[in-house]
Amino acid sequence: MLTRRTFLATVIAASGAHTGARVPHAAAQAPAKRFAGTSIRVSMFDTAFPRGLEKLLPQFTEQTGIKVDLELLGFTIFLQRSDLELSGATGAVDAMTLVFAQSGRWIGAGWPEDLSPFIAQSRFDIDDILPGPLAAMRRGDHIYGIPWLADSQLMLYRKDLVAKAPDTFDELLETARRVHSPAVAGFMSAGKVGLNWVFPTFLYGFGGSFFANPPSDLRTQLAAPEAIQAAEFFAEKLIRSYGVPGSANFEDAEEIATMQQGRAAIWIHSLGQLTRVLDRQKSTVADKVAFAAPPRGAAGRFPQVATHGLMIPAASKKKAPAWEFIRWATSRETMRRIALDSQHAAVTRASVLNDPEFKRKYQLADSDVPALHEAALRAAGAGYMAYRTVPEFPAVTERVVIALSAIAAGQKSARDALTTANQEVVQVLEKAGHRVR
Amino acid sequence: MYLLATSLTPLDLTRPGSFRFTGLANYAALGADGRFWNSVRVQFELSAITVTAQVGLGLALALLLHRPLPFREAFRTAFVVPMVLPPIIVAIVWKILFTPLLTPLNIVTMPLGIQQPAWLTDPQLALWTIAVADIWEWTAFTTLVLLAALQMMPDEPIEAARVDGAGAWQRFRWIVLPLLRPALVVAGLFRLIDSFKAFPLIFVMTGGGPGTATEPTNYYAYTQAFTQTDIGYSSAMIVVMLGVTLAMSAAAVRLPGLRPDVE
Repeated sequence: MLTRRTFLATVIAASGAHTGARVPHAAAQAPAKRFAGTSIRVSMFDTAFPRGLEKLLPQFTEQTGIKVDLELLGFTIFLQRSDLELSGATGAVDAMTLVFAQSGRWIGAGWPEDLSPFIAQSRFDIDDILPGPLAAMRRGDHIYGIPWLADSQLMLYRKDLVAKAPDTFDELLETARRVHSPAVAGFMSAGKVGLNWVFPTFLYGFGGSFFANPPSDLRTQLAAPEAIQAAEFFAEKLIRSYGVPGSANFEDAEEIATMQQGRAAIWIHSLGQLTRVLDRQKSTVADKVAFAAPPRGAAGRFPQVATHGLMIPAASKKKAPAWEFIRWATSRETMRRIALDSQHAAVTRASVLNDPEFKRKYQLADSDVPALHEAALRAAGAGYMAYRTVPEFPAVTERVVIALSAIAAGQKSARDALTTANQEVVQVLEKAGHRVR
Repeated sequence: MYLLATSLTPLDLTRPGSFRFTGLANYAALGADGRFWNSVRVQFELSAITVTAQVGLGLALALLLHRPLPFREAFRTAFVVPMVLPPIIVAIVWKILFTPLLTPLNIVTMPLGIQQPAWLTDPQLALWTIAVADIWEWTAFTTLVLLAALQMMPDEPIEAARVDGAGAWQRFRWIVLPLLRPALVVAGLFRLIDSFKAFPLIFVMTGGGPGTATEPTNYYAYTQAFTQTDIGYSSAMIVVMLGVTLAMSAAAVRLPGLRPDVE
């Protein structure tokens, strides 16, 4: 059996062969200096990693002479601006975040530049990037983005209220029921943006799916009994009965505030968000929480993973200096520095994940977070996240979130809501030219 | 013109070449789209609640502030504050107030053992919650318009009625109200047209949910355009909205109520 240690050793050995041939640091700088005086504009949504980059930018400018105008935006605003920027092909942005859920749409529309020639020319150590995250940005031999975040879905629970982390859906429901009170809700459901991130864990756990076999066979499966059962369990039994009141409407910031104030016992979300509860200056429960894998259903455990990368818009007129920036930002040195200096555990390089200092730092709340994180990334290697790379997925998920929100509010039964959602999704897919009946 | 032209195409920003003429296909799809008709119903419900309340409350407050009251100037200034705040700030403040576990109202309700409902995710309450925030924000506008009209009102007809023995209610009903009618119509019309733009409150407070319970047409058009880049379909919705708004404006300026009907 392949253990974590041997898996990492294999990955690292593979990358080591390449690392041995890595361009020496000083030599790598020399050609880059030809960009002295060049300015590039970079747009990313705001998380710990780009904030870490922001702090290190003076070093990059000193090394390469490239000045970077880094714009950090909220996620929703970033998505809106990106669509307009990319579809308008203005060339105003030279490097930007390639969002996982949009990757199919954006790559399908030809908006990101193929980075493969840059990777080959600069002898970038791409083999050190974990294959799971990279797969979302690869189409055949072409790579359109370099992942800087491989977020995994974990469960955070209040160990002062919950003695043992629930391992199955039934245990989760039972635990939520037992600890639920007016002051502390049993379960913190993800809000508007997050419903589509947490629900698939239950959908697949019950044996359901969004599509028959994405991306080739997109026949929708939302009206199947397994999907209805999953929606009934998740939205009706769990959120409606034991969820934080009103949380189906929350943004991430409100979820974090609710957890930091100790108002909920169990929260399933991404590692990047969960670690915010450990902030001792803001959290009243920093010492009372622990991490575990999200629970499993009859069909198994399906922790979601999300990956975001850096891409160069095809319309950029400064592709070479933009690549210099991406190469530096996703390098082992930069990623390791940011992981050690801030709360960025969701790294994408095997070498950083296996770094002793990194491992020591992320033994959080008595939990082996790197091991849980890696287990999720490895589980997703089975391919169940393929649904997220379907170009029409953002439109599909919008319908599903509306359905879940209506179920959680008691407006519709799971069957009615998902049957309607299924019909709407079929229309969306047919309008996009897919045969789904 | 561009909006109109776009509404006759299936333009999708992710599909090059989708800017091609397909006639009235988007409009035909709108007619069969249950979510669109739901959004129209939500829009009219929201407008009806907010405009009625804002005109009614505005009138009451204007009559109150027209009287010589202590601290009248301070009251007038305080009333204007919600109106001059950026709408997004108003939305965030109300969202926090209506979030049961986060609201500062818990300081009062929790010791009393009162559990608040999920204001923003209860389908029966969510639209009313948005309406409350909108009324709070914009009642000051109708108050100011009506107060200005009251202050411009000639004293002679009221004095004449008083001399003739008319009571306070009769003077209000038969003299003040008819003289105020143009101002009432203008204030109501402005608010009605503006109520079609209650976007920030919905965007921040409910995101159109739960389900589509608080999704008016402009928000539905926004999601089609910006989360799905279906610009053609979204444009068709906006064209319909534009037509309705223009028709309402045209009808309103012809209202007989724009002229005071007191001889």
